[in-house]
Amino acid sequence: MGLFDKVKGLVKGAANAVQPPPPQQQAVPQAPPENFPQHSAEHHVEPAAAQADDSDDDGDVAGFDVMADEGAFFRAVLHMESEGQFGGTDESRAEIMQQYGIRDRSHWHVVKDSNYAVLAGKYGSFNEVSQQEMNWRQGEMQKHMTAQTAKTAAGGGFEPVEGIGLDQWAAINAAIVGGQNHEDLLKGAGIDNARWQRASAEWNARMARDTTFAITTAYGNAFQAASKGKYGDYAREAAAARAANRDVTMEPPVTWEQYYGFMYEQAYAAKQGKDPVAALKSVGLTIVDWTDLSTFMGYIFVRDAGRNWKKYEEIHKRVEAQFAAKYPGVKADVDIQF
Amino acid sequence: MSAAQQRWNAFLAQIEQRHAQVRAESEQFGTAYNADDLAPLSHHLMGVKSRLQDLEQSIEATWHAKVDDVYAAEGASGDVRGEAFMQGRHLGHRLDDEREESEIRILAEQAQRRFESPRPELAQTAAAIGAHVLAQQAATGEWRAMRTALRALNAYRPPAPLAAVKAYERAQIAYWRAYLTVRARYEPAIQVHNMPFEIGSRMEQWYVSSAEFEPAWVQAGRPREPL
Repeated sequence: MGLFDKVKGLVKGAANAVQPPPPQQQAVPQAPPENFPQHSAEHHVEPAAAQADDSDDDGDVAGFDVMADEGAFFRAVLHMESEGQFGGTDESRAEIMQQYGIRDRSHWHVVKDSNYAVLAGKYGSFNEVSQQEMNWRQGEMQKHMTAQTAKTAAGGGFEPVEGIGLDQWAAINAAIVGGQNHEDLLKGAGIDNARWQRASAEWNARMARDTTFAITTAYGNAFQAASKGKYGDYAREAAAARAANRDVTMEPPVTWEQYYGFMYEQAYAAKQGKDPVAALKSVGLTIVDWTDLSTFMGYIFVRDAGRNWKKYEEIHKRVEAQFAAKYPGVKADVDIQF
Repeated sequence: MSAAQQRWNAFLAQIEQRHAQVRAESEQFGTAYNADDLAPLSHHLMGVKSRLQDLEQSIEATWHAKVDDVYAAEGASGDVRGEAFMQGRHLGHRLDDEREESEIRILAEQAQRRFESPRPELAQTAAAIGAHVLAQQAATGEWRAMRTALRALNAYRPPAPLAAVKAYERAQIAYWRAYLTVRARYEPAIQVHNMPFEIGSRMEQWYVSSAEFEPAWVQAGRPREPL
């Protein structure tokens, strides 16, 4: 993928970014790998009062102690309820059942609901429990990505190409996208164009081969670390928070109404075959600004949507309606009806 | 034929015709486009893609919103309704393929013109624009076969049989081989003399994150196709 493709990808990604928020408990806009299990409706716990007559085993938490170690319970839920790369296997489920004294599937459901009820008491609401579980899963994803990065590094995937390391390559690309002169940048770095082309080709080839996305992730971090856009500090704070699996410490620079509005400006431009970059410019943003801002706002969303789902849904619907009124008649083919 | 089936057929035919019409207009626009700056063409393609995707998505959206109820009101059996639903889904898949291929054709034509251009500044940009689209165009048959194999695999209620898993594995390998063989002409960093490395690195994640969770594949001893 060349620079042109990357910029095009950024613009297209941004233009396609306006989707209604996913339903509650699937609220992960910065998608982890597609096979990473999301919260499912099955995980949602009804209020304890509604479960009162379910079983004589009510309150049976088996061997879990969620007040001391909720991670062990979240891990058990992940393995007991999900398949795939990050989910469980028959072996891991058998191990969990033995370790925590779970008799069978039916007993597991009782134990699961009882532990969620304890956690709801600890955190004050089921929404907050949902958020805590989502945060735990994000932390697990981060650990996975750290391991992938270490593996790639051990295999030589981050070795410089013709003396140009990934950080330097990303920083120069960030400066180019930020509007600086390509030739001046290379001259300043003491790199001739042929060498730059060869290094770019090799870094692009490594990214294409790296289906774990370790190199792409490192590139993205380095790109944003070098950002001189007005939201660069926000992107860097989001990256630091993600690495530490914590909340951000900076207040959002725009409201959610404004943020969703920026998304819709681009989406409506794309639908009309217009330039989404010009749409961004019309609201005072560059591509770099948008990339940095969406990194920050997206991370806040991940860390808050579980507990404040209704707030985001209401704002989104309001902005969606505003833009439908602002751009009437954009939707084509409405004449085709069943 | 039931009234519901007639209405469903008519609806799907309208979707298919409109999709073809929009694609044809877009390809005409692409053929006529001769500016050096490809950004306006790219924006045009975004608009077309959005419209075509809306048409494709309207198939299942309409089924769920209206069509299934009409079949049910006629007293249609579950099998009949299932067959009608799949009729729409298959059309959606075909239109999805057609949309992707149409955009590739338009961009491949632009890239080819640049390769043939006497103007050095255009010829120099040809590889950057054309590497993917020309390779993708050359591998269209393998790409279609790969998508068909994936849809067949996904159509099984888990666990899928080994034959379906292996068919998708082979289809992926065939696609990557065809695609990378052409792409390497424009990107020397691709090690065409070491295709097992290039294909293997692209396949590895599928083995780890998908095949590993297919019981039939695991029970058979994780049999990987030779590269």
